[in-house]
Amino acid sequence: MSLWVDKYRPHTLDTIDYHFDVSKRLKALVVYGPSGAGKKTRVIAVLHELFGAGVEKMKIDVRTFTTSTNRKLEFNVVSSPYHMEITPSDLGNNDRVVIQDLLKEIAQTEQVDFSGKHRFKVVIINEADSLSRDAQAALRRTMEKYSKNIRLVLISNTTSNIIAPIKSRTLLIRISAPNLQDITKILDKLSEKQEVSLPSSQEERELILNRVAIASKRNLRRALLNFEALVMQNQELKTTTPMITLDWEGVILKLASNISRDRNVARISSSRTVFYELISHCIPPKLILKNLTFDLLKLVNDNIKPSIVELASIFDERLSLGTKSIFHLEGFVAKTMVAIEKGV
Amino acid sequence: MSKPVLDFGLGSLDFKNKFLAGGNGNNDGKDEIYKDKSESPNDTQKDTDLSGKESVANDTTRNITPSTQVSLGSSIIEKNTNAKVITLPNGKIVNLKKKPSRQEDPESAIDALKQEKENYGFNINELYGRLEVKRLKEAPSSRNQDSYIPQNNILWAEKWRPKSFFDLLGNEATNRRILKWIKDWSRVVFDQNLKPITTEDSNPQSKFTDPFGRPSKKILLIHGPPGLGKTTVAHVIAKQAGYEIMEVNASDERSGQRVRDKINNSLNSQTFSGKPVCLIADEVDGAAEFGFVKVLLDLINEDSRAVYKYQNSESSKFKEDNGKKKKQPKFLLRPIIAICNDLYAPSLEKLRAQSEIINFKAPTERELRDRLRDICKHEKINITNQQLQEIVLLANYDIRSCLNILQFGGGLNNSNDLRKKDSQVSWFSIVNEIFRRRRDKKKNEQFKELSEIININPSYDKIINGCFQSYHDVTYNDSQMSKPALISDWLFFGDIMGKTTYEGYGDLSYYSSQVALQFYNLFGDLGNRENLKIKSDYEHFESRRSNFNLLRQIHGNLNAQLRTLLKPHYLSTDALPLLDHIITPELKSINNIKENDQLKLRQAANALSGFGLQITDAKDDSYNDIFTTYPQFHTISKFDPLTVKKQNQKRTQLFPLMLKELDVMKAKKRAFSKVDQGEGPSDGVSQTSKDFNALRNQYEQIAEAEAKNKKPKTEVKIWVKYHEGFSNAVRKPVKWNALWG
Repeated sequence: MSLWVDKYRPHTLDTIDYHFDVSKRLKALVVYGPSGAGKKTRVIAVLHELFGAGVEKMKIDVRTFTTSTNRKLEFNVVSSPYHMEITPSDLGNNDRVVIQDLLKEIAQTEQVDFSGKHRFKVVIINEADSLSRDAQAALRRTMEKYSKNIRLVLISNTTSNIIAPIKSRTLLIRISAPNLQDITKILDKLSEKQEVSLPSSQEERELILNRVAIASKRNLRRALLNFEALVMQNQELKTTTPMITLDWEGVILKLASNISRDRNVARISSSRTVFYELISHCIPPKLILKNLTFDLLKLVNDNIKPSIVELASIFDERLSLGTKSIFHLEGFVAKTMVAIEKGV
Repeated sequence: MSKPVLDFGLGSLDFKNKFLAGGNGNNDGKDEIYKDKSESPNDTQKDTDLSGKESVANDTTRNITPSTQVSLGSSIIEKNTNAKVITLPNGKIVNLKKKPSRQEDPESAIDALKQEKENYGFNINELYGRLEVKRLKEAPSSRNQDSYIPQNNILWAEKWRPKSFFDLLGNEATNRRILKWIKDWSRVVFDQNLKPITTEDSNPQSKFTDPFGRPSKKILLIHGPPGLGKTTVAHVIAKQAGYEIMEVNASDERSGQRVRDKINNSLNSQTFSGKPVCLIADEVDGAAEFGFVKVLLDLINEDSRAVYKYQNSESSKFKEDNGKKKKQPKFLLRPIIAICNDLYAPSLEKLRAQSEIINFKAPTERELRDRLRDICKHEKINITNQQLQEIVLLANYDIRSCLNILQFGGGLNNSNDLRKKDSQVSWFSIVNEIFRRRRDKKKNEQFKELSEIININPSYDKIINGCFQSYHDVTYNDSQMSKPALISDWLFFGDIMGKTTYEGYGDLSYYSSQVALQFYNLFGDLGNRENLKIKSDYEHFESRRSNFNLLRQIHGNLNAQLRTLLKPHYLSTDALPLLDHIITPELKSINNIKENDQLKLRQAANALSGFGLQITDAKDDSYNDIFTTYPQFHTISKFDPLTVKKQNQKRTQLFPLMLKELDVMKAKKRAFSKVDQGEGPSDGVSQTSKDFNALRNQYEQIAEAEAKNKKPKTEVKIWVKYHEGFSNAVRKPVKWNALWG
């Protein structure tokens, strides 16, 4: 209804514009892939195929749970008559309670559907990779035992955090990010529908759209948001129109270029301030590390690149394992500086 | 290696006790080491004598312990008869008395005890207590007859609690805000012939203001870290405003009906003193407080219902109703102040929206120090500025714990080095120590010493964080940042070890002390002499939390479609920064809006409503009127204050236009629903806005369009498929008439 991202979201499988082959194989699943690749959209489209338009009638319920320590938790559930979408990781370590209580509750009630067509309900679990071990363990038995009444779709970015028993019980499907041509095509289609004032020549048109696609790093959601923002900000789009850069990305880029320019302790200490700033703006530390790494790679000599990538992977692991992201972000900067100094 | 040190310290103390009591302990090694570690207690005591004029009792009894409250033995009271009264030239009366002899006192105390309990052995603490009390009792009495005696039993934190508004420390603006809030209640609380503002006797605005002139938010929620005096301020101000205070804190039963009765009773009844009651709900952020918070919320809801009912009924009628009070919702007629530490605790989620929130900040170090010095003067403690500062830092600006340290941290006032005192070394002095390589010791010796100190300190986390915060500011030899790079590995180790505390598979955080030692290894340098000012990341932490809370709020407002699409962290990384641009479209000109621009505005308005954002007017930092969204999200999407300003300017231009657009959208929606019901779009229009005519036209168009669409609809036939019986075996077709005829 509102944003283009939402307005032009495909509702059925045949309207999804890329990865045609993947759509045909959807069953009962773990769907994984980078963000903005269209995982959720695809799943909803499958549901649409199965249940018809009723899936789109979504509403938000608030459920309350009681943990073993008698704490009350509130939890939002988006549901339609045919499916239910939960994000257990909202509750942090208490996600097990949701998995146990909620899923069992759904699983143990049989769908009353006189047409007899669909005897099961679909539960979509978001951010399955941040489910705690306990929750995943609770999940695996539920999956089999109640498979008559319930179908699970787990959506996650990677499968590495999902425990093996779950992997073996599900079909893993990877949705890769759309490539630049895909995005360009989609944007083109959209701009026709919205009557966006683009240059008439095909070439220039593609050039602009391609730039949007590049700027959004093959993330379709972001590409759409970005494109809409761009259209809103400009009377007409030309090949010279500047792209909209996000503040936080700009900050990281600046940090990267600073690091590549000079390296000393004062720089480390100033980078700490930047990191604090970024973290307090709710930018996930891993994303900071990722962006910083890619920005750095553009700026340094080829011979240093492997070592920077290696460092990034080490510190990415540390970010996952540890809790004090500021230590590790700064550690990455310090080590990178050393690496660059050695390589120069 | 470390634990023995700690045990040893305690052991030696124990040992001393035995020695004193029985006099039969063997006085070897232990005692000597005790002296090495912390200067022998004797020295400490001489200087700390309150009067300083006379040597009192036995030196070793100086320790102030909680057992000072032990009642006085009779023999001690007798002592006072030796006093001689002298009147000084200036009219003061001074009580001189004989010096008690040294050996006599402990023995007499012991004798007294012996009389009571034969020789069944005695409690050494009690003995200490007696001597202590006696000493304290005698010391001030030598100066002034009626001095401090009874107050020795009081915690200083209680004793020096501010008594009036002018005694209050800290942010005066905050204090005034609280006072103002509570004063706003005066009208309803103190005015005997209270007559609510009625709709007749005042301007039409009164519909929106409170009929009793109460503040718009009925609960005051004070939050801030512990020990800053939140409770005190609430008490003092409420008292100042003439209220009797009724405090409900975590120690009281606060669940469900019981607390409801209690609160209702106190809010609606009179006290003995005749003063009205002000309810102070302390410590409401606990996990078990849902019930309590619910009671508070119910009170507010009931009140708002009452206000609504009142405003929508005639005032005369209201008075009649007042007579037969039965089902009338009650007004909330007394102020309620709630106090918490953590504003973002889950239990407070709903209360936050309903209450006036006051953030309590720590007073400045200077203010705190001045107050402490004042207290020290009254308590006759000699203490240097430096030491006071150290105490303030140690307590982390927590004034209550400052006072506790002053009161119980005996011996502090004459040892320059905190380490010499037989108590824990504060984490920040450890941090300082870590970076300070000593000239007079070998590196490994100092390492050993440090490791002992660090190991007995429980706050590894603080020490490591402190080291991390300050290692940039110290001097050290290094080639090409190899040391910061090295320490990052150790910090990772420390992080992993520290994390085990929360995981419940066994605590390994003990090992993270090694990280602190690594800091010494790498960054300890002779050049570091000055005391470091250790920064804190608390601020970042706090702003992150408030931003995160904001994200969740925005995410909660999203409509269902968008919510499935956007996770909270997409909001901060992608959606919100771009939304900023989307909701402020670039128009050709503000005054003359073309069709194309109109489209954009509509789209922007659509985006706003999809995100559940509202447009409100507000003030910016320099108190200009601006339009902005509610909730505001520039703390998440923007980094540069300049761009925020620019954005605000642009929004202020555009948002009035968009408000209009939103109004139109709303009106349309309403019109559609009306048309659906088969009514003409007549009323409801008048309220909407200025461009009445334009809207009217639109309505008519909509009505026409809708009417056209409707016609074919009515011709649609209805088919009903009905299956009788449970299975298809007995299925037979059923006619319409069979069902409805």
